[in-house]
Amino acid sequence: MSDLLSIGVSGLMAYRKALDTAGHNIANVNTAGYSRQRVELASQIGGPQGDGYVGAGVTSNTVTRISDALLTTRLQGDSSAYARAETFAGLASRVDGWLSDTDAGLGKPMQGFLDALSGVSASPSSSAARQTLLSSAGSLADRYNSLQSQLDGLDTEINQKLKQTADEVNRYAQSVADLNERITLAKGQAGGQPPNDLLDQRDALIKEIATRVGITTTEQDDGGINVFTGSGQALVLGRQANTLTTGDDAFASGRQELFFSGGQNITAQTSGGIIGGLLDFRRELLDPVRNDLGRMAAGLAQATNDQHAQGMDATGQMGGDFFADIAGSVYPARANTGSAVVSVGLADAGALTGDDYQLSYNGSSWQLTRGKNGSTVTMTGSGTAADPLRAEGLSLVIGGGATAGDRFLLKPTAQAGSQLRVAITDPSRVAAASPVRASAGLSNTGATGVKEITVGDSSNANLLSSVTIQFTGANTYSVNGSGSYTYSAGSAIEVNGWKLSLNGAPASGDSFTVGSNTSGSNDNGNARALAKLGSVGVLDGGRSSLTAAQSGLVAKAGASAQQANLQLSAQSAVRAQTEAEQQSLSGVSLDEEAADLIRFQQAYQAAARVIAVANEVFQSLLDAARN
Amino acid sequence: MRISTSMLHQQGVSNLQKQQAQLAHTQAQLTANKKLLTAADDPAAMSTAIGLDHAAAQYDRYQDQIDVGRQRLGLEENVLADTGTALQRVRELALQLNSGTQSTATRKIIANELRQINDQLLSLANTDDGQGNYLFGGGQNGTQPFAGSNGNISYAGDQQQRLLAVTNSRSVADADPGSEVFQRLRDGNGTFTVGSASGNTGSAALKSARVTDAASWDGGSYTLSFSGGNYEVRDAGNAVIAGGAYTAGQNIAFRGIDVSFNGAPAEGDSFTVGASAQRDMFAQIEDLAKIAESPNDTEAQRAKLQTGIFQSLTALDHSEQHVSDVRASVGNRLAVLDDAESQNGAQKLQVSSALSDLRDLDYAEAATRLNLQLTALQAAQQTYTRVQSLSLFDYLR
Repeated sequence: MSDLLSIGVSGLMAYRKALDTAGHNIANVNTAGYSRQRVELASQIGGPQGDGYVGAGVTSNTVTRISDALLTTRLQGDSSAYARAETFAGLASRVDGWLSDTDAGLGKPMQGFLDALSGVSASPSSSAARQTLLSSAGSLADRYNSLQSQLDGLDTEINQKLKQTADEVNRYAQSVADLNERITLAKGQAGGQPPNDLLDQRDALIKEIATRVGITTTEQDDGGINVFTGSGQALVLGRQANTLTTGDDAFASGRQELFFSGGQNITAQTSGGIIGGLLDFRRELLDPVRNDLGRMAAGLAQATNDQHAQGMDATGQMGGDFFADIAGSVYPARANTGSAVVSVGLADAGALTGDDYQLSYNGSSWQLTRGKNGSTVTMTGSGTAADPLRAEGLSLVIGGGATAGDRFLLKPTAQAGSQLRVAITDPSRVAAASPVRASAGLSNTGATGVKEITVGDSSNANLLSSVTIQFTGANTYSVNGSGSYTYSAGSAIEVNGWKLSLNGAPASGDSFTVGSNTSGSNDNGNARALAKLGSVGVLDGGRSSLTAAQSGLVAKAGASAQQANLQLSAQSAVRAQTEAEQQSLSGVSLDEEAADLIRFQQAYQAAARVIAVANEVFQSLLDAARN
Repeated sequence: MRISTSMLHQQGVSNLQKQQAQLAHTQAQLTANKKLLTAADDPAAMSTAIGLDHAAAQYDRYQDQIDVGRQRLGLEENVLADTGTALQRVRELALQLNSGTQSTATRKIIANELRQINDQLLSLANTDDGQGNYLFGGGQNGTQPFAGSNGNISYAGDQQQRLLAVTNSRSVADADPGSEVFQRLRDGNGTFTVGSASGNTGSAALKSARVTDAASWDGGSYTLSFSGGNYEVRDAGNAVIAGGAYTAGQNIAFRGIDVSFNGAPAEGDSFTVGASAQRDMFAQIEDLAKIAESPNDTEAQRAKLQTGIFQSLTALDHSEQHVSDVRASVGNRLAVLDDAESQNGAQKLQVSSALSDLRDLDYAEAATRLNLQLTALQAAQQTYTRVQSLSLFDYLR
């Protein structure tokens, strides 16, 4: 009879455990990362008896955590990819919003600037129109400045976020290392039984790391898990945790990069997670957009200044710089030993590529390589101020002495957007007029008018000198009373950098005078050319106008944001699928647990009944003996 | 598939969020009345739309230029019409002078009126466009273009023309330099002038002066003299180049021109023939005023006066023709503006409709979508609450 009693007791014990576990499951129904647990019951074999084996009740072997290591790993990978896409899409949509917005984008101020140029062209002598031009040019420059500062702010934000996320990774890595230690200990203490809740906690922490940076994991025999970064460095090795740190790049260009344990730079090898998203966004969208914005600013300044210099202002001087000059940014490597100083001029905006470069000195000559792929860029010139090194629209002037191995990071247009500003403040200095004017002698009998006078070479030293063209015959003329030149009908007369074409066929005695357009405040020869600035090819070797470049920039950011959104929804679906699989396997179902509670309660009650029966059976035996 | 409690909850919530995100997008579209909120919605369409925006703005700028041009050319046309009327009056006065019925006093009145007309023309030539710009100053605006008195008027402007860009390819000058309107004129008949010698005593007065062969006219100075019933023409070197017996009223032809005279030349009377020179409108009228004031007591004086008036009338013809030519050119330019306006308008309409297709929201579609999304959200909410309210624990009592 003692057997039945112990069988009953084994049932009570086993179902008590099962009820406890169900209760534990129910209690953790909302615990993140919790995997449901199950008591593994097994029947207990009895001792051999003559007539066979009578079972000895039930025993619980272990409490199992229902989970799948492969699924857990997949979920880590999916979380990494999702977090990368989410980070990228969030940042990209901000850039997209700034550029697309009709009020905050470049479109309106650019239109305002072109409107004002057109206004000056219509009323060149109106100081109101000139003042409007200056203030609308100021607004345009302001918009470039503010977009640049928004993008710069994003850069700073990414620097901070990188540091903050690396710190979080480090904390989680330390916790994983600590858990590794506790799990190994706990396993030993429990005779090899798994400490399920610690395992859950560790999986959850590793998932947190994976959300921040792409990792791989391997499991050790003692139950510890090693975590490696994408570059293969061990972030967690058993009980040992290493750190990710952030620091300046080799050129101190104000850009934070990622280092392993303060040593090796692993920025290029890092992908996935929030950090991967930040780095990818910086490389794939922020840098190109910022460089393009700068390229447009440089193009705008150069095209405007070039045309402005072709005209004459209301004070009778040739047009000066309309926008202030823009220079490229240079960052010498911190390891440089020489004293060389490099300055980057944007000599030809049309040839600028929007790329970053590295300039290095090998002891005898300078090499230029493209930042994004390291390919060599051919340069001409010697690097002096008189003969700068020239390549892809840049002119590099090198001062001081460089030593072999010195390197410089060139970001020609990364900061150009912040440098755009209007250089003239006096409305009368707007060069709206042609620099020269021509008039036909009133007594001319043949050619009775000036068809057009244009300036071909505004740098000609004698451009503004007074010149009299006197026809000595129908096809010959003298210049300032001397020489005899052949005139062919329909072609222009070119002297001192200007070109004069005539109305009518000249007759002997006809005269024309050309000279400086002093006080030609009502002339719009140059304003008309300036008003066409929006549509003339300025960038990409003259293939893109400023307006086309602007829509290109918006489209570039928009396409990137669109792609990021698509990626995000794809990753979101993938992650949801994996999560569903994982939840389907490991998640707690309250209904299931309720059913289990009923089931285990009934079994528990039945086991108790078995004890009662054992008692009754034993009692009846005692009663039989008493009688 | 096994369903866990938190999964059911999560799925419900993420579904609700998805629906709400779509709803928020539709709401943003409806409130902004835009199909494309940012470039990410459709980068290619956004890029095209920005290009079209620039094009539309360009057409607006062209329209501004057209408006400015129309205002200035309209003003110029008015001034030219007034100038034409004034010249008409000058012509009437010249004809009155020529009629020979005028007394010294009435001729004095005519001279005064001519000078007043000159003043009126001067003020027309100095018209400003209502915005402080001289209409006829060319590129100069600092000083008024025409100044002077007694027909001796100088021009302070230049010959620059402001061109207004009115379409992608066409530009229109918004005014004409004053020199080209009032000054590029010649005396005589435009090719040559005829003057009576001061000692003439006969009644011969110029009746016609024509160019018959422009290529033969060399622009030299010639003297035509009458003596003994013959005439002869000598060149500047005093060589006789034409001559013969003179019959009253005959045409005397030489060097591609011919002239004829009314009345009878006295023995020894002579006329000089020379190339026309530039003479502006003001000087021409002053010339006429001076003729009106000159004495006409003798036959010879009257003949001289008639020769002068004849030439003034010819020159006036040319001036009127010139002003009317300029006016026609202004009219042409106004027509170009009209043409440019309708061309730009048609093109802008196309641009706008393309823009609208790209960017504007289809309200009916958006409103339907909003309704659909609202229904879907409601369904998701209801499903969520219904599913969440079910639990086996409810039955464990």
